[in-house]
Amino acid sequence: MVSRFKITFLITILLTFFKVNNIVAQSFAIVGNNIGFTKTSTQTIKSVFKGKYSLWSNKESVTLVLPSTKSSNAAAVAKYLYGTTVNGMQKFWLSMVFQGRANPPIFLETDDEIITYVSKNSGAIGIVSSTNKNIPANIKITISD
Amino acid sequence: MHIFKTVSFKIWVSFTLVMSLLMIFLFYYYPYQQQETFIEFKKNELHELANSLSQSIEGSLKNDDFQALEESVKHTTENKDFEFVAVILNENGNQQLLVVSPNIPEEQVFKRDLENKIYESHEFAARGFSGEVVIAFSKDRILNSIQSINQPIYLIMAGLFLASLIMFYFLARLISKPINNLIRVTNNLKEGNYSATIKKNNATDEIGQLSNSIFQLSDNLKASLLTNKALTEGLENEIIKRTLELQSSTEKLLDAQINARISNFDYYFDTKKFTVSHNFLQLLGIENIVSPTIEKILDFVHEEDRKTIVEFLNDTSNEILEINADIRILQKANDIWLTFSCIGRIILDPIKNTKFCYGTLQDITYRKKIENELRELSLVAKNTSNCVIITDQHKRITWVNESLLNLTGYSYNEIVGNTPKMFQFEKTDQNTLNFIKQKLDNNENVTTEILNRGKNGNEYWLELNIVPLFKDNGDLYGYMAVETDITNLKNSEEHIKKMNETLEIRVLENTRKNLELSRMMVEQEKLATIGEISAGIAHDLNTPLGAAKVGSENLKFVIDELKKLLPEISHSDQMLAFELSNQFKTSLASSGLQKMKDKSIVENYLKTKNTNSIKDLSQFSLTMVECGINSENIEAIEQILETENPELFIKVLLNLQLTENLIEGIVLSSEKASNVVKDVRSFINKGVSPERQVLDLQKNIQVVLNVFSHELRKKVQLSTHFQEGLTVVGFDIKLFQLWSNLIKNAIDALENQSEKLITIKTYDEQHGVAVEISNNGPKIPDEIVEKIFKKFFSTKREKSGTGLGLSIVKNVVDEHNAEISVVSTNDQTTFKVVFPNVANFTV
Repeated sequence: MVSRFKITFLITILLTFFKVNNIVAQSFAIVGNNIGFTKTSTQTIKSVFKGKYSLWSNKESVTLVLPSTKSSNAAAVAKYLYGTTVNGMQKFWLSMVFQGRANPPIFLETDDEIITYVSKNSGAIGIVSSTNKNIPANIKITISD
Repeated sequence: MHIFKTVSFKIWVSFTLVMSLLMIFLFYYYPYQQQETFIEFKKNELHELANSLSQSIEGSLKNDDFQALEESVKHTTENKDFEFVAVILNENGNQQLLVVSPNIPEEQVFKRDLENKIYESHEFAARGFSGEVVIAFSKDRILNSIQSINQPIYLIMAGLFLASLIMFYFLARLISKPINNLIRVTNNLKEGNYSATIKKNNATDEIGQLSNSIFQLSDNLKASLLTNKALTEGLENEIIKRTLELQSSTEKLLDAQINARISNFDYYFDTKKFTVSHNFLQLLGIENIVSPTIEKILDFVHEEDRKTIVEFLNDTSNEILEINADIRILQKANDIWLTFSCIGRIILDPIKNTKFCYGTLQDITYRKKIENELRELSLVAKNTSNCVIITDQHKRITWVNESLLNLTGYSYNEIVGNTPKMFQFEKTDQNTLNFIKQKLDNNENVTTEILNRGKNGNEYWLELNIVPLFKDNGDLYGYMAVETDITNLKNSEEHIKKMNETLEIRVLENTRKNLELSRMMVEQEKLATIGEISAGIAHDLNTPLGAAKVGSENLKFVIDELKKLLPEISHSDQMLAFELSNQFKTSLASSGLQKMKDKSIVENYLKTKNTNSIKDLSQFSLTMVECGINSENIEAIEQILETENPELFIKVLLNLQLTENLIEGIVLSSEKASNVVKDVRSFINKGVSPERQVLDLQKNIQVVLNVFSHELRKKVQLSTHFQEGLTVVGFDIKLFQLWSNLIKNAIDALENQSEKLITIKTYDEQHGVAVEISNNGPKIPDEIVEKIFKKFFSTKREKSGTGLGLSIVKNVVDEHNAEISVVSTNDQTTFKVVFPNVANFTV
């Protein structure tokens, strides 16, 4: 009985450790359609996704596209962009919406949906997994740092 | 103020009042309801928004659809009443504010207690989130919204209110006009004016019907008026007549009560309340007593009578229920007892207790007095020595007294029933009987004398007084005769008649003698005065006569001297001497000092001249000065020096001057003596005019003063103050008597005074000429002042005073229409005589 409990405990610890390592280890690519630049820094990207900008330098409206909470990338993206969990990200955007400080992002389930949406909407910027092979070169934004 | 009484005003105001109340209600109720409804609506809206937001939150959390949430938030914040929206999360059992927009203090979100906000919250739960959304609206903005919604409604309501007022005003006018007409007509009808017209109309409304009813009523009243007018007039006349009769009867009753001096009283035993007529209090002179009590009134009742009344009132046996007694009550003001006839009765209640007493009090003082007088008179009539007969109106004797029975010899029964003719006989004077008849027929009193005869043939004279007797209504009911037996008087009448005739002659004779005596006494008074002042007159005569004698002797000596000297000077020097004697008067009488001074100057002057021929220059100079010639008369001196013998010449001149002086002195002395005689003659009425004439007052008084001059000089200090030019109209001789008596009295009055002053003053007064003769003698006692002008009144009887002096003064004053007055004080006595002005004098 005791050994079974110990085994379960160890498996849980290992899975958790694996998961955290998995989040940390994931990298993201930024896609943007007609956002006035193709190369930027991580800090700028984080600022953009925190709703600090509503217009691009080319006067296009900023449309943020994020993976939905159902997406496997959601937690990683939340950690990467907002330094919080998915719930924290949702609280962030609840707060932003209620304060009217930014246009709320569009949440899509898959990276492809995100790429497709960005490709079709001028001014849209999204984040996808860097491993995705379908990212068109014309919308890919290079992170310089 | 009349407007407030008009019908239109009443209607209009009532409408206005109702409208005002309605409007006040609406102005209050409508906004309140509006506000409540609106707030309720806003709360619903808020609820819906909160619900919508919570659903949107749940949707955004479940589906990651923040676009819808954004729309919902936008929809919420765009609401114009929006105040704030907040999201509160429940985490680990704690509520944490996620967001609030706009930013407000956190506690406001949690407490939600501000009155100016309405709050609504709605819970949400999704994907592990739970919490609530809170929305707040501003109540002020909601109210402002309500206000802005209500404003036009208020305006409309105000307009409606004004319109309704105007409408009601005109409606009131419209309604009140016929009502006013109806009121006017009704009032006219009420006041009996049936001529007021009213239009009959066919209106079917209430006013029209009322108008028609009044129209009908007016017609009916007019008809009734005609039928009732005569009846009313008759009734009114009857009422007026009865009222007047009643008033007259009441007044007569009151007058009768007052005239009969009857008063009512009542007294209640239980309350002790006593009431009595006012005239009773007036009779006693105690009408000022406000509430007379039985005790107060009893204080005025005579002690004996008071006992009777008290016993009557306090009788508990109920045996004495009536009183009829004469009681005496004191009229304190005059301290007299009035007699009242008191008639009273006690009324018992059903259980035989005394309830009240009432009755009358009649003042019978006069009646009592008359009764007493009658009783006394009856005694007098019975017992008097005079005869008394009383008859009826037909002169039949009803009563006689004992004296008549004694005088006539008839018995009482023989006389009663007969007429007084039974005493008359053939010697009774028919004229006297006719006179009596005539007087009695005229109901007049008769007083006469008549000769009657008794039963035994004895004749007797009666002095008869017959008085007709009248009832109160003036009807004659008999006669009363009082007869005095004057038989003895009549017998001695002739003797008295003769005595009277002799007496008249005697009286005339005595009167003549008295008049003569009086005249003689006046003369005697005058002569006595002359006698008293004769020594003075002799003195006054002796003085000038003595002077004349001495002057004559001196004159003889001077003439002898001249006889020697004149022949020794030349004729021309004689002429010069006469001339200078006329020119200068001798200065022998001048003072010695002045004379010596003048002599020295003249002597010094002469020394400057050639005067060697003059042996004694000093004597020469002195004689020259004595001749009245001094250094100022250089020309005369030179003339004298140029004479042959100046020393002889100056002696002649001096003697000539002395001669002249002596002659003048003798003449003056003679005149003085003559004047004394003249004044005395004037005083004793010799050569004085008996006619009334205008006299110089001062001269008139001066004559008397001259006569009395010796007395005055010897005894008193006389001071005179005559106003010049005063005249009076009168008899000078009588005025002499006036002044001499007043002056003589003044001198006599000063007999015992150490300082004797008499002042005579004449002056003009407003209405005449006044003469005051005052002396500082003792005061004349007041009781004597009133008598001093009476004949034979004298205070100097022991000094042979006749008592005629001031009586003569008064007569003279009266004869001259003058007035005399005496003012006597301790310091001075003044007799003042005021004559009428000459212009005003009338005889």
